Amino acid sequence: MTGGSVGVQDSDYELVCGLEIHIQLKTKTKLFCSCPRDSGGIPNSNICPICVGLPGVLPVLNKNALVLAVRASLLLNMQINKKSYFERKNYFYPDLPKNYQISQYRIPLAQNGYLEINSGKKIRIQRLHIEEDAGKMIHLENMSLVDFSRSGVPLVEIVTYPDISSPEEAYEFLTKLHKIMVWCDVSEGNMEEGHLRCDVNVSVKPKNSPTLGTKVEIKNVNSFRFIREAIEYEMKRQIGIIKDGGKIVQETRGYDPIAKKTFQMRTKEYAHDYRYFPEPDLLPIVVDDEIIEAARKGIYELPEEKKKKMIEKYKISEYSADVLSSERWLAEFFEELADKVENPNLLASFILEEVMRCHNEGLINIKNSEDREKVKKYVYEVIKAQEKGVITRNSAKEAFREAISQNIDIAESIGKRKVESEEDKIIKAIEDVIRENPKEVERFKKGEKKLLGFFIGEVMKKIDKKGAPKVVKEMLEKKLQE
Amino acid sequence: MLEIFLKKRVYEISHLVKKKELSVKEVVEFFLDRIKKIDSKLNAFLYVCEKEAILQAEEIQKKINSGELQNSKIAGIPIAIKDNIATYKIRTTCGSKILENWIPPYDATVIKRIKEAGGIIIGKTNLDEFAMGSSTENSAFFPTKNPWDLDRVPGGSSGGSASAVASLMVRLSLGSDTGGSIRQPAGFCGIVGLCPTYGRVSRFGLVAFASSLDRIGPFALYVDDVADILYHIAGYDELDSTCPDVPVPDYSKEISVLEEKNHKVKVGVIKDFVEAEGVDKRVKDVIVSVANRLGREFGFELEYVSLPTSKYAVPIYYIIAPAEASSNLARYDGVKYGVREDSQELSEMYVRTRTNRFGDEVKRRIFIGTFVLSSGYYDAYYLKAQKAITLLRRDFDEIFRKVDVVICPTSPELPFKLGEKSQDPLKMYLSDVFTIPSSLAGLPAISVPAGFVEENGKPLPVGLQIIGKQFDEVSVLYVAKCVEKISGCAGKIPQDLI
Repeated sequence: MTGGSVGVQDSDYELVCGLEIHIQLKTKTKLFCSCPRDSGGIPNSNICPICVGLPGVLPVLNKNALVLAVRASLLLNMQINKKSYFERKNYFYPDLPKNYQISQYRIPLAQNGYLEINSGKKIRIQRLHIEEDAGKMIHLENMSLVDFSRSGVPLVEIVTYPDISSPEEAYEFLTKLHKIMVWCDVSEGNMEEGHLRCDVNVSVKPKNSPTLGTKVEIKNVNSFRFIREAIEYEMKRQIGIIKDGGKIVQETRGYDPIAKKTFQMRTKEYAHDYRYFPEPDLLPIVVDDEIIEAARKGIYELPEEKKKKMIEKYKISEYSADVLSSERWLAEFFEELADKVENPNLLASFILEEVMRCHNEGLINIKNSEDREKVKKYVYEVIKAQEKGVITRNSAKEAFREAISQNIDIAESIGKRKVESEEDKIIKAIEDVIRENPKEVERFKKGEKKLLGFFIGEVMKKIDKKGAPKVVKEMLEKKLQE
Repeated sequence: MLEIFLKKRVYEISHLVKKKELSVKEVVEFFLDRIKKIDSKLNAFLYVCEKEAILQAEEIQKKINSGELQNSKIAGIPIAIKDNIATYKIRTTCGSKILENWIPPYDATVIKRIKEAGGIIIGKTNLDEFAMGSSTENSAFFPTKNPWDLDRVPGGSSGGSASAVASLMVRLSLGSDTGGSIRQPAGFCGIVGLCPTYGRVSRFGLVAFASSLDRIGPFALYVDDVADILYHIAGYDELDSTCPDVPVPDYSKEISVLEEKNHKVKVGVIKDFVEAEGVDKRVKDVIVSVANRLGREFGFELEYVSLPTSKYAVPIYYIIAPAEASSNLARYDGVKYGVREDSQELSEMYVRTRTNRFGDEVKRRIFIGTFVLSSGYYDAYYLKAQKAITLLRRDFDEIFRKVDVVICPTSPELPFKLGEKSQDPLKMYLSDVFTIPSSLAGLPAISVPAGFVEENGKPLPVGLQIIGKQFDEVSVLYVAKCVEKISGCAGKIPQDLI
């Protein structure tokens, strides 16, 4: 930063930052009509009279959206209002078909919660409410078009207190929020599709000063990394202005990720009067036990608990536990098998190396329940075979891949690679070794048991190391005792 | 023919059709002929669906021939629809220039149910723009006239639907009632108009004016007829959250059970309304006389009751209704449907479209509504009005602990002349003073002809309003039928239209 009073450091200032986050709920249909929620594809292909607000239509609340919003509230440790209601937020914009948005205002669905970040700090959450999304504007050279496919898609808006005091904390908070919402099926969390959108309020003040600085809102930043960068930049920009004796203007800014700078969008925030009033077309929102129960049903052991459990109970490495707990379906896939095998470490590395490879290549889809059950059985079989030593690590991978890609029964695939299928070869090799080393055989029989290693080595040489040493050892011992 | 179509009840005509003593086509053509002959004088219709009606007639005839629709009370009966109810592929204008080209891609729930029961949509009727008004003079297209005196208004906002029934251009029509828009025109036109309990009939497809007050209801010449069409259109609708799952009785059956045992009800006469200063003495005399005869001839116990909060009803209404209207009408912006007044600037396009295409009364209410919802005024107006509604409801609850129904004049006056009030909104607003209280309370209410008063040699109808408990349409209809027997006015249409 340039200029500034002598002796004043950036570190003499601190950041005060709060977030407003919109999360798209993972429902099948929109919030108030039966159009599919998934709004991709041809513009205006996913609309009906209700979500474009034709004259005469009425909204009917999608109960599943309420369940997911309650689940989000529970995940954020919030107080849920047993009774709240929808209100109309009135403003004119072409992407808002009714020129009012059905939202919540005076009484939100939930309030007063928090989310704990890694440092143990709790970022407090002020409120959470349900609302409908608007359409999208497409601006062309001399006209603007509206796509209403997204209109009426269910959202929750989450507002934090200004508890965030570093760009890193904002990043961490958002990453964790995103992860648990996806983990518990509240949202698909697809960032490219805008399933999680965040506006950031940034101000700075001298350290330990009780008065807050003027805040600037940064809008439309579409990745957590950019949000972190934008806050970093904005903080420095504001400190610079203050140090130069200037004043922060209340305004809305955007972020340019290429220039790595925020830029002014509009100043002197036009004081909107949204004329909120209770939505007369909808009944009050009542959160009864049935809704709470349905919301709880989706609250699974959270990623951190899962990771901890994997390390403690199955004794796998922190790295493996980290990767295996990155997504719920993967963690569950591991856990369901880990209880059945003797060597969870073998299982963990097999999943991370081979199963994930096949999954990523599209040979299988473990998220799909039908595939999942089949794959689980296959993995179980190859791990068991490995544990018994009847198959090597490499042939385990081969057998697995062959079974899934060529639709061959796993037992057959393993069978082909079993050391057993090369039994003759091994027996022949053993017999050769015994015949070629009569003296050593004599010494072994007299009690020089350490020679077993020598025999194993000789046999392995003859079979190009393609047998399981354990099997070779057993067979050798048997032969030598004859 | 005319004798049949004037004197028989709708279900009897439908019965003749089902017995094939009349063809659906004959019925439809009879009414289409009447419309052709008469409507040029009355201007009740904005659109007559001649072709569509004939096609529907053929379809319904086929169904009847194959034995379907036997349980319908309205099969083969043409029905006129107020033009603020969405009809698939049939233009629905709401009496507004802003929607003069709008063709709905869907049917309102009531329309769907009428079609399923074999009813025929014969035309769309005139109304005050977006149902805002009490005379149908606020239609952006033309005013409708009262069949009893062409110099007078038919009432409003459902003036077209009322005028059409009162002139026997149809036997049944649907209207909508927010502050009296069914009852007041029914009273002015000398026919029966029912405003069912809020939530009794789905609003899906009714273009919203004030969502928390809007209701759909029927007009007919006889009480039996409104009972029968209500049976077909009422009941739970998954598309309307405010339309609960309350069982729908067979109204006419229930009424005849009460009639057979000469069931006695306790009737409250609303003192505040009958004795109010602004009530035309002739209207008062008709109502009091009918009330007394209910006591004498039916043995009903009469009690004068008071509704003290009713004096606030009109002011409350003119806060709540415009507030909701200002939001409901925001969607008419020229972006998606209806008419757009083009401009290079978005905000100018909005302003030009809405300035040029909304009428004065609509704008007036949008202004009032926008004002009362503004931050800083919300608590003083909207919130306070909501609290006052609670008090008004309590008043009604109190009364209904003592009596089964209450009665009063539908309007304080006889039908007024075209142009008489159109320059004075406050006078116009006050013509709904007796219908607004039950609108705010969401209670079922009917207007039934109680008698006629001669003015300048012309008989002018007087309507009597009966208000009942929530979802107790049966009592309301039963008492209405008793009034119908006393007055002898049922089925009367102007002599020159016979």
